[in-house]
Amino acid sequence: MNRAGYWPLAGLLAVAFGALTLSGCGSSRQPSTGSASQTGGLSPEPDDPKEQLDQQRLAEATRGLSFQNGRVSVIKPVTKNRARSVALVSTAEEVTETDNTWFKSVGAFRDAVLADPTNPSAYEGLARGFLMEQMTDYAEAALRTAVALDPKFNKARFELGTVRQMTSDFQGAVNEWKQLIANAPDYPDVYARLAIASYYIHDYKAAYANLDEADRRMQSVPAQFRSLLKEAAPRP
Amino acid sequence: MKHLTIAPLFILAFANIAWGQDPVVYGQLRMSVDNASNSGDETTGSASSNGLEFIGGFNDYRTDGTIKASFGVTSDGGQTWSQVLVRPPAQYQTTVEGDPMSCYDPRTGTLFAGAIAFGGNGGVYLAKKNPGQNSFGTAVMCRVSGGADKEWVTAGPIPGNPNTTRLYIAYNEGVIRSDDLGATWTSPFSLGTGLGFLPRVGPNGEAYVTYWDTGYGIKFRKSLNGGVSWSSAITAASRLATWGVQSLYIPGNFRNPPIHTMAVNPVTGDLVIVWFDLTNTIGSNGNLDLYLIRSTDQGTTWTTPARLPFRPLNTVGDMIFPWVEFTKEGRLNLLAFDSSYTANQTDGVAHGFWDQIYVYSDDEGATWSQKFRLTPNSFDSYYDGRNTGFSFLGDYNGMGAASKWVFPVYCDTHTNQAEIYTNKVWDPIEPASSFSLFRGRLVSGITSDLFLRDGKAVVAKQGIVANSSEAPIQLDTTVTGIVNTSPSALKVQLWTMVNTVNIQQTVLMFNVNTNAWDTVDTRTAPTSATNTLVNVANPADYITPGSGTAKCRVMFKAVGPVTISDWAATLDQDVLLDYP
Repeated sequence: MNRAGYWPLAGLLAVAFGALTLSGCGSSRQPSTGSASQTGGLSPEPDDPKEQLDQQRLAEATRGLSFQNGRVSVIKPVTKNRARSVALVSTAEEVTETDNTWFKSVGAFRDAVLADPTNPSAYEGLARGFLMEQMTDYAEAALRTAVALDPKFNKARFELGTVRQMTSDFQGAVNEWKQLIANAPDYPDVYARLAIASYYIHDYKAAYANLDEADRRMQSVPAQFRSLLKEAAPRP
Repeated sequence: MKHLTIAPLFILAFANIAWGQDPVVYGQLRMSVDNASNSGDETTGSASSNGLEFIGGFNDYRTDGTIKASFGVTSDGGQTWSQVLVRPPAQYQTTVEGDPMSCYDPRTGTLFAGAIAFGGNGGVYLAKKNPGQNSFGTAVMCRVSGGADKEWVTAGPIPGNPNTTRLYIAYNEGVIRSDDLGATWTSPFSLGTGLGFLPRVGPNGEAYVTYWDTGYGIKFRKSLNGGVSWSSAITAASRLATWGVQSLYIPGNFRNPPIHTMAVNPVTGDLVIVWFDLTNTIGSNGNLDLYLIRSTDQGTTWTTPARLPFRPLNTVGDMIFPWVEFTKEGRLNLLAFDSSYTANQTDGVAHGFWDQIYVYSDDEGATWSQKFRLTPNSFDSYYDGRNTGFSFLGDYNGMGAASKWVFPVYCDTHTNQAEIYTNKVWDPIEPASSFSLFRGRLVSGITSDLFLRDGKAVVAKQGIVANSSEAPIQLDTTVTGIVNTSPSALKVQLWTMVNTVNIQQTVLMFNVNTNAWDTVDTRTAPTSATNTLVNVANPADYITPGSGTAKCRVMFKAVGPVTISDWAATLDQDVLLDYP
């Protein structure tokens, strides 16, 4: 298994990757303050040959991009070509589905970003490429960029909530999903996920309310959740 | 070759009578015996049917700064071990080789070991163990690909043709298969996006793959035509929480990606999937537990996820990296990391203390044995031996399951370095393959009812006897296929009762040398369900060499006034126990 993206908090602090912001129960980490080449070289484990290989792959796949202040940007100005970017997103989707190889996927979506840095779909795809290798920090930066470009990009907003949950930032996840509901109350499973995140932060009243809403909208609630919630707190 | 002393530790023998008979769990054996290793992690295991040949693979961090796939190998049931590097052909070798995989083909008796060479000219490779030797043949490149990642291999028959072997390797790029014991391979059939593609084969050649979609989904696909085509992915279960390579919910600072495991019962064809997930948060601690789902219809439908009862719900602690395998007899075996043996641990601390535990289930996960602690003491996750600033103990566990033998394969850092260990686990139960009433009338019950003390029982009433001295109920059981025909100990395990007083219960074994029944135990039959455990002297006298057949007779006879004229005997369990 690849090890790129393995950035434990201690490692992050030790190598001073960049700003570390705390939110809710967990942390929201920013992967880099530098250029892509700097990003590629920032390995917390430089002596591990596998880590070196993965950092090399990461550097290559993100060449031309910068991950700074929790956003993705292009290092050199480009001439926007939305049509080409859209086509490259389509190609990247195919690469992702067929090869299922994170650095190929990231590289393909990187090309779409470089073709038009204002194309939100390119960043959303880029995030999925990072998540194939569980690089939540990079994925979060890409998704924040996507929703900054299009605040009503529902899929990216849902995924941003998921990534924040993945980093134990349950309150952050709740906030993202609440914003999503404001835009799209029928977005699949959003109430179910809100219910579970609320349960983890011990807001049982919200957990039950969101569970009821999820049931009303026939969303997919993990069956094991119901008994855990009931065990933790009786229905108010 | 290193010679290791095996110290059999009969840790727990008869405590869990509700589930038949607990296994014999031997002491810890180190498999990473090569001192050229810096540390090892991320394991796999496979064993031959008789348990004599076993391979356990792991990532091996060499002292020369490279990573290789190593396999601890034994061909004599664990008496002696070798550590063997399994590498691809020379032109495909890289400095980073790992993610070991292994499987056993019961038809040909072949053990396979392989891994991935990471890098531009690398790919997936597989080698065959040389039978009876602690070595492997030349590896074959199954797929040349610089992007290959996490693979597992399995073997089974082509559907409709039990006299064949089809190998499947599932990895990030899809599934490939081989019909010539790994010499040649197909191109990958893409299974889409996901991670941790784990293939398994059912008893009739049904091919299954489960994987994590890197979000909340535990995905499942199947092929009923031998991997030629695959069903669309279904979500077998949804996770409560998800995370990247490392959750922040454990004591210690090491990767714990939420990869899951699956096994197919070779007896019933049923499937189980087990994973670990965030049950709750208590204070600043997140608590991870194991969850299980089961399918009895080839993965079309799945049960509601059940949290496995290995930790009290509202306590701080974690279980991670479950691995499950069925033995040939259908016992479900589970290996996992467990933090609960060291109290008052806090999530995120650098030094997390862990143990490896083994449990089993004889009903596909509905109920479980008690926990068997495999590690003598909790080990500190901090000391993985690599001094890289954070720990890496692998991304999963592994286990080999033979007939009767189970070999969990895991890392333990008690030497201040991650080393690879196993504990031989022996299931002593020899269930009856058939039964008959030499005397008596069958009221109810079938052979499988004699396997466990579970309330399912064989009930018999008095039958016609040749003379008054004969017992009117005589139930004969036959056990076949006993592998260990010269056991160190042989026992008869019964749970019986009768519905009247003054009944004598006698146990006999058929002596294959004298062709006569020998009485091995006589006592008053109990009137409530009671365990009888009979030690049989000179065990080899009662097992036919070759066929491994043994016969046992349980007789019930009135020896005084009875309160019910048409009295009955109930046998809830009637099994033999043999010990190596």
